[in-house]
Amino acid sequence: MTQEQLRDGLLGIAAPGAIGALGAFAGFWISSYLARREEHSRLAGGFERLGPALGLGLAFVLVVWAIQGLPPTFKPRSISASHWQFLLAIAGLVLVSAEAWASRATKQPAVRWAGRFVLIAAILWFQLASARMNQWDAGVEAIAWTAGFGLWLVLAFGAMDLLQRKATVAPSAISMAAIPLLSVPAIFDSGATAQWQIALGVGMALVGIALAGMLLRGRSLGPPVGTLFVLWLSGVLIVGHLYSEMPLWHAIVLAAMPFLLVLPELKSKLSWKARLIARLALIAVAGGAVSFQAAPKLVKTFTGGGATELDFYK
Amino acid sequence: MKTKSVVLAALGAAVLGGSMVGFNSNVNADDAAMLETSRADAFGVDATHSSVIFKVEYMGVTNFYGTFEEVSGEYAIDLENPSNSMLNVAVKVESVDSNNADRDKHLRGGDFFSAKEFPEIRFVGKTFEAASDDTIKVTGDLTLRGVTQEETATLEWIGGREDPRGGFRSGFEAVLKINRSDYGVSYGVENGALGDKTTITVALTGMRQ
Repeated sequence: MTQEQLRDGLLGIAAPGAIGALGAFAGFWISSYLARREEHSRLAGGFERLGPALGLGLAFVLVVWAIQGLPPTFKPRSISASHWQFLLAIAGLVLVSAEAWASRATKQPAVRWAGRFVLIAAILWFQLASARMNQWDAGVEAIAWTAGFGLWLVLAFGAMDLLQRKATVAPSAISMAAIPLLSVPAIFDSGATAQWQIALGVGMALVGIALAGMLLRGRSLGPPVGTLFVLWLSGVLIVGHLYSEMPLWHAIVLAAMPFLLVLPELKSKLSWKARLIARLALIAVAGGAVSFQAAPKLVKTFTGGGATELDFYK
Repeated sequence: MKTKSVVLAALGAAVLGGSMVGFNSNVNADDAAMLETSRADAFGVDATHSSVIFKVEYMGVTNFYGTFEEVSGEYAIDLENPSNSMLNVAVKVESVDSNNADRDKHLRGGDFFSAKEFPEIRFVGKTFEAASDDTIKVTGDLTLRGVTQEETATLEWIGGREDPRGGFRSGFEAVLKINRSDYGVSYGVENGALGDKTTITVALTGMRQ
């Protein structure tokens, strides 16, 4: 590994982490400041929800843009699933920002789910279009896959909401970060190399958010972060499994991970530390299962197995 | 009335007779041309004896070559009258071969060709212009990774002959230079690991249909 590669690698890890931390810290700090002034309490809630979402969303958008570039065309049918990720990440950022500013009691859930259904429709219509055309038989198979993926999206969004309700910022952000970080070797091995780099960026942004949460305790991460997280994971599943060569069982394990996160929350008697340890243990087992075989190959990449950070072949 | 009918009948016979004569003479001319060159005939691509090779710069120090093993399509090349030509060639992206299994997986994946999402690369010629005795500039639509853009290839006709195993065989080599990032295949361009300019060489042979 050359000095230049090391610098680029560290920048690729540090930059999304810093964006996540700064976004969350700014949101929480402004929220604390406004909360002390009673007339601005609604505004304070908005900043609290917006901060981490902005941190994760901006890191996600910038990492996807830096690695994959802009789509070569803006004709919807011609845009690949990978490039849709960039457009969906921007759309997701706009939609969760709208949710963060909606008033908590009445409009927020409606705005949240309206935004999520827009994202679900875009994912099912555009990102799965090629699979319907080229991989699945028209009829039952195409309908089952499309409906099944739509159902998974709805349930995964719901699971993220449950996690945000039960856990504070740092434990939930750390648990969520474990999913992309421990899945990196498996995603790398699928052939969708950009996806593992994006996963690393998303994971580091969540670590940054967790650090901000440790500094300013007692806050909630908020459902907008869950929306962006599921959006990222759906891209990995689509590009990694449907359009690259991730084995089906790896995709199933990855798809199950958001639900593993909320399993310990069902045991309300456990302390937050015990729930965090249980969550991390579940994700470590699942992540280890899918990443175990590919990990040595990834390590070789970082220790001089290839000529550049983009070249893994020897 | 009677005179009018006779005049019309005579005119009709003359027109019909003239067309018959013209038709016969056309058939003879076409037969002669076909026997002489066979280049205006339609040929079906013989994938086993055809090659599709791509070339891209590697780290600014050398050129790297890869191939697509599965190619199909048809062509009809008329050097005398290029506008009569036709070219429609497709390669199966899944068949990419770079002499390294891991790299082939990467090339098939979402970073490069996204083979499952966009299973084929296709070039359809639209306009054909003579460039020299045996060379034609073919401008057509190249569809790669879902994006269709107009590109110009240089096609060199190599020849045609009776195949000893039967039928008539012909072949040509065409070279197409593109910027792969125009099609969203931009992985490795930004950091200079791989070049943007990509040369695709298609050496085809086909059997007369």
